[in-house]
Amino acid sequence: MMAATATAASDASDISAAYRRITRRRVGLLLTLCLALAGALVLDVVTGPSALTLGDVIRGLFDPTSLSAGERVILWSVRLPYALMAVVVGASLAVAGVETQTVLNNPLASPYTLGISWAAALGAVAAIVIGIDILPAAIVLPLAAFLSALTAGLAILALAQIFGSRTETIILFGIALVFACTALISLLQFVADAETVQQSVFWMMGSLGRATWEKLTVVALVFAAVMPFTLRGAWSMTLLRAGEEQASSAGLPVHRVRLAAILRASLLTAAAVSFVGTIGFIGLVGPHIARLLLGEDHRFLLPGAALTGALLLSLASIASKLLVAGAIIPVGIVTALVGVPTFVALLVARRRGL
Amino acid sequence: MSAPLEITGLTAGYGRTVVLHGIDLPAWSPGTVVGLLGQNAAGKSTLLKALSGQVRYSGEARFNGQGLAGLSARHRASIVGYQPQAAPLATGLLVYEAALATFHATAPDLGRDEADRRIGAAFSELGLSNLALRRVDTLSGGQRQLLSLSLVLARQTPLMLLDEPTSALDLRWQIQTLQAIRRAAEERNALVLIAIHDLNLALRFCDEVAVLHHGRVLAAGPAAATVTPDLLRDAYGIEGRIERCSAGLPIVVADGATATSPPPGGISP
Repeated sequence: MMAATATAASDASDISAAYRRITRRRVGLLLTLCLALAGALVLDVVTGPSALTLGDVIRGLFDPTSLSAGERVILWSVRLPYALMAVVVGASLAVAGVETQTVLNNPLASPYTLGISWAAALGAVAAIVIGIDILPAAIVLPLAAFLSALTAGLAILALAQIFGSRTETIILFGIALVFACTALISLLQFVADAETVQQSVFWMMGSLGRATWEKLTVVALVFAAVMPFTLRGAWSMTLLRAGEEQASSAGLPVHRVRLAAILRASLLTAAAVSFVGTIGFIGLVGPHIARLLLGEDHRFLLPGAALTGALLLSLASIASKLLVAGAIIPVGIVTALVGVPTFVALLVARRRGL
Repeated sequence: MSAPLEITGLTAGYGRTVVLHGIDLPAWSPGTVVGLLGQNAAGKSTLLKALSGQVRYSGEARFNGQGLAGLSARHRASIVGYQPQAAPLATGLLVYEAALATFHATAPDLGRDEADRRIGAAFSELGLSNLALRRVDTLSGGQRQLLSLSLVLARQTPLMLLDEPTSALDLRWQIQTLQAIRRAAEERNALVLIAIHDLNLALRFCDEVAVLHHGRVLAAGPAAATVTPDLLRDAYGIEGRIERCSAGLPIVVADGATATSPPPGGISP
């Protein structure tokens, strides 16, 4: 009996020590991602049709008066909000992706699965087509998109509350919402004139070009307000990866945890897509890349996904400015072009045990 | 010693399908290992799910005088350790992380050292120590079942409800697992209810049995006295004998199905 207890104690300390080594490696990976993101952010700010060198950017950041008036406007009113918006939107979408994938136990889930992105698009397209002009379009469009997305998120929550929060039920509600929103968008576009249709299609492509400091502040504030709750639920989310039955049998209130996660994902997605349009792929692939690098412990996975999402959108933003000389392609188009090769490279590396 | 678990008139089911029809069960003492027997769909798993809060029930189920139905998920989990029939999902979660998350998410006040000590003891007992840093999706079905049981053992609850804990295990681990469960019951004076199909294992490792049939209690009592040829016929629809091996242990020998065997999974209307 004594020998068995001693063996168990030694096993426990061995396991704990080995796990601490894994934890340290994960912290190292998070720091590496931070550095990569910082590099991408600088590159994003430096890249653009107007020739601003790295030196100009650094000087302009610390001493704006050292730049010409035109350069100042480009750096402070265009490049910086544009680049920082990529970081915040990418982080928001990827964190929302992790939350939905985990609580729905579905690797194909993303903010799109719940129909929230499409609801945002419906709100924006409706505002464009109906032509609400009581406020400037720069305010009306994101406001309509946000309200519509939030309504969709709350509708999913209400339905889950009434009909039960089984993963299949929620996914089916989400799919129904996607179809309803796309049908309504098509209807609105069908009755609208050509110019309005073009405007709405362009909105749906997703573009960081709409970024301003005010919009950036709103998205960043939502992210900052939601993240503490997200991180506080990290252990619950990790436990859910053992399966709903295991988690529930261990005393986790699965229904409540699931609804709270969907609410958080809805808020993050609604805020992000309302200002930049529907940007796909980041919410699906960002979490998978983070998972491949950091595993399933959500204490690392959630911040890791925020960083990979931010990094992906930052790289997409750079690519959107470089792919066609003198033009900025909507970033929503580029995200998949950047994300797919990154994802495939990681999958291949993992398979080879690299 | 007073009986910790009192079950009277317990009715439970799924939607409109009633599986358990107002059952009463004996008042077992702490430290007892009880085998829940019966054919498929007799109501064994439903009983365990009802007591662990996974399925709603009506009637009385009290543990140490406290009704189980009204407890919060976390409070109930401090009393009831439930091992579901389904093993943990095959995901990229590490074995140790699954255990660690169980404690951090549901019993954060326990402290990391105590959680580690309990996890280490449970892993050591069930041969999981060398697998602790493996991904769950690289484990075999049997190993995942052992992980599921280790999560219950580590929580050290006074009531353990185990749904077929040995169904995916090889012979050696069936024995070792049931020995570990017995030790846990004796050392911590815990009451253990095990849904089990292997009657020989039930006879060897359970003090008492309760036999369910079509959602009702067919028989209950000490294992050796309750499992009889008549019971085999009534509960399972088989003709059989209870023999003694050279070591004196009872062995169930099934000779064949009766002419009027109950259909598998038959729930009474």
